Amino acid sequence: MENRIIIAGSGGQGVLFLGKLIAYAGMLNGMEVTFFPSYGAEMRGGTANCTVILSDALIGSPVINNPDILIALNTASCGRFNSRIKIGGMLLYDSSLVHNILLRPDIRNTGIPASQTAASMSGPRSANMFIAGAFAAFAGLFSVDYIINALIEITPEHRKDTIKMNTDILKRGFDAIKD
Amino acid sequence: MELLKKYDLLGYHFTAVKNKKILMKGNEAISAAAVEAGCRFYAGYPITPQNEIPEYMSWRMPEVNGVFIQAESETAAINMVYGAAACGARAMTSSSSPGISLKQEGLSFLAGAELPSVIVNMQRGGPGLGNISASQADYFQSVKGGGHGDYKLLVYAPYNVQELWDLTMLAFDKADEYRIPVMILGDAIIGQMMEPFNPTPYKGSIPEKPWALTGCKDREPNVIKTLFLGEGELEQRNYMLQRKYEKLKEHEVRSDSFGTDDAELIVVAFGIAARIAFSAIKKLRSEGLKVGLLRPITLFPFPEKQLQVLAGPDRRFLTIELNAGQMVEDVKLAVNGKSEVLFYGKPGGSIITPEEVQEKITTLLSG
Repeated sequence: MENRIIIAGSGGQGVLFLGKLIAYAGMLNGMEVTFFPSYGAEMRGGTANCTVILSDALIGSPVINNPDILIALNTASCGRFNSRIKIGGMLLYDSSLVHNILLRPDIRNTGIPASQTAASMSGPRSANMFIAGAFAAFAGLFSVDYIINALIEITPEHRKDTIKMNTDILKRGFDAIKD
Repeated sequence: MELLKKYDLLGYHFTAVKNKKILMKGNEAISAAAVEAGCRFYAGYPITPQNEIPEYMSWRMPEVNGVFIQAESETAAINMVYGAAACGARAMTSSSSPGISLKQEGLSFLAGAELPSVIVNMQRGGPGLGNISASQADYFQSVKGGGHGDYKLLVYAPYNVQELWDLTMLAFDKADEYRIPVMILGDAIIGQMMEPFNPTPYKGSIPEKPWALTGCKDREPNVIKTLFLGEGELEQRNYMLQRKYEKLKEHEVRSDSFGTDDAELIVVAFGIAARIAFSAIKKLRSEGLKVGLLRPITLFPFPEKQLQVLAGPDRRFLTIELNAGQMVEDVKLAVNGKSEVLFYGKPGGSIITPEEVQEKITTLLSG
């Protein structure tokens, strides 16, 4: 079973880090994974997106058109990719920043106040951690512990002090879906 | 595997454990593998989508007492590689399509002077500056001699990050063994994607290089040159080079296949196109369609014999490339009329999806 995920937002929201985190967690869980970022000109300020594929078998193309899951961190990105989600797929979006979108009846739509909650805990830039936790509960591919372990492993030495807070936010995100 | 414990540039922090996979970008895997294989000289000039290579080398080379130079141009970089290789160092440069075009003169000189070297091309869309997305339109340039003269490169076409790691190490060994420039022909997707792989330790060794320019105290001076004006000198040189290429054809062909035994249609694709096609073929085979994949891993020498064995009247070939049709010519030469050879591809600026490949194959097999 191949799970294809597109994560989209704007530069600075931690889109690529979120993608790497999910890919790394998948790897820790023994899955085949690929991560493919938007790169080059797109990285300077404008939109940012990446594709993560998690699978129990060898992955073919790391680049896809139609995701099973879209994680949208702002309105523009949601508008750009929403129509590409496979029928029966899922949309997870930050309801603090994604507004006035047409919710498709043929997919599962879930909005969570990621930026707002993150802002109340440490700062809006941690919204991606809230989403990461929510993703674990939402997609049900692996336990949230894999995401937490991935976070611990890939946080660089000089940012280790952020792990505690990020883990707390991550768990809040997980609970937001679970509840 | 001390290097993998190092702080990597994407903010990753690897702890290499035996048999444990690590997650790295293709470009970084190439760089790390090169250093592991004893590369101690890198010169390059920035261009997307291969910038992680010079970026990695810029901090890593000083740590292993190697040399990193951001050259003033691609032309300068390849000529610096010529100099380093002539002195016996394991030397490498990397670029992407427009930059590789600039290096063609240097490649011809490296081949003529028989200098072992590794050149990475992470292809992007062309012609001209094109764009920065993946393409395979430099196939002709890589295998037919992009510079002047009768020369060949040994060309590897990796299709995942594990192969980038393995083939980079192999490239340095083969470069020394045959005294030949070796090209690693990747593309923007292979270079930019991350994938777990097993960072197997380097098992080769760096051979003695008695021909190298190491200072000629107590011995006859060595000469590294490409100008042969003497009577019959160049002719002799060229025949010697041709014998080397024949030896490569005999011993160094690499390819991989999937489901070719019972296939009515065999897809021939390399690098990222093979990977895209693999997705489609895997799905179609599970639905009972008799389709297989032959994937050249070396583009020169080309797996001619492997194709010849498979060719026959009840079988068709479909070459899939991210270009307007280049390798298909070599497939046709190998098949030599024994099977129908078809082509599906898209030129620079567009990417093929597995769904499109699937549709194409289904149409061909039902038609």
